[in-house]
Amino acid sequence: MGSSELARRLGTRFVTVGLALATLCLGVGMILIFARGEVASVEVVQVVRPSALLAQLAAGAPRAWLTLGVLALIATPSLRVTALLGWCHFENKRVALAAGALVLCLLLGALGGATYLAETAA
Amino acid sequence: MSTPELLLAFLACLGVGVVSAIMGLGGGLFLVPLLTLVPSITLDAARGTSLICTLATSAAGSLALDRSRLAEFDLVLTLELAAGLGALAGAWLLAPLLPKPLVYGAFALVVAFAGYRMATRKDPAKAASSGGSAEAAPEAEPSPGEPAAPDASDPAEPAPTETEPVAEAYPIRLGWGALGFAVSGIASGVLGIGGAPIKVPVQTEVCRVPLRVALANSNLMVGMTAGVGAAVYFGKGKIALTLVAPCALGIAIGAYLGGRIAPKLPVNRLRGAFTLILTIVAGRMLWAALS
Repeated sequence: MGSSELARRLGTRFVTVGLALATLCLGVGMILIFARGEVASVEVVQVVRPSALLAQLAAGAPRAWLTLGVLALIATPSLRVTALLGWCHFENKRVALAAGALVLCLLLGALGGATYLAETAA
Repeated sequence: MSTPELLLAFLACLGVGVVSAIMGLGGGLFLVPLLTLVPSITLDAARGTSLICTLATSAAGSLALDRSRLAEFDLVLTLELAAGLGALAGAWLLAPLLPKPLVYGAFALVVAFAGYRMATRKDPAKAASSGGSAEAAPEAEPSPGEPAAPDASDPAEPAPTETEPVAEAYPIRLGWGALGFAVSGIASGVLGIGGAPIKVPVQTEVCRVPLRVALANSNLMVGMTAGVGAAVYFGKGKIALTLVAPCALGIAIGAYLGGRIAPKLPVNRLRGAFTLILTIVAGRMLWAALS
């Protein structure tokens, strides 16, 4: 199997897993919302801070499950690009540089938002 | 949010998914105008939620397209860097600065452009019969709802092989292409759309990439561009969290159903209706901009 085919398959695997995980988490989140009767009380635009995510997941907080589902969706393209990065590292250095910069771009996006989140949390 | 409102959101997004799939468009063009109708949803939350839903539909669509093996990874990664930077600038820097009327006006412009492309789209059957040759057909866009990237072994439109460098396969003008993609990225970050209505024409008109390869590339790139913007909106807490599940699920199921229905519909005859729908959406956003 060539490196291109390997990267393609790995990318597809990441997308499949990411999509399945996101569907599962969003589904669980919605079920919990209805089961707990929190439809009206769950605020529209608030996500859970990453530091509090694990504790709230364990506590069965619907918002935490929904947040994890959203995170899985956001992470899916980044993982796919990372898989492609592994391939083009061997194939084409210029494209590898572009892919690396793209991963950095995706991380910067999250960092930009997270900075805002940290400010509001403080 | 109440239970009937969530159910309504699911059904509305189901409809958006069906219509989008039949028209061969992404859901963002319809989702943002729809979400902004909900009084408790701010423009920021509408954009963030739309980008998350775009991620879901793009990921689901790319699984089907992966089998076609038409996407050009090196071209995707090179051009997508420009789109990613554009999305970062759009969502992080420009979106908080731009006044709402300007955003609505820009949205109306993009939807109107998509409507124009829909109205002037060539009929593949007519193109093939007029030219009568294999060269004529690839230039015609597929009918709305037609699978974006069918059999890769289509002799009329050979995809470059793995060993064939893309830059030598097509007359790609990377500089202009990157500029177009940067614009599509900014549009994605500011408007909350995937940017396919800009990405596909830039590839076909500027880079001269065959349409079916451009569509396969675009599906991959839309997810990456939306990922950058979605990460920014997520970090800012600008996601309508309770609406994400019904909207993403509704659009995904709707897109699946639309894909199944489309081949049975006289979609080329429905082009007038599609153009009308896009004109109405453009008009609604223009109205929002002016009021």
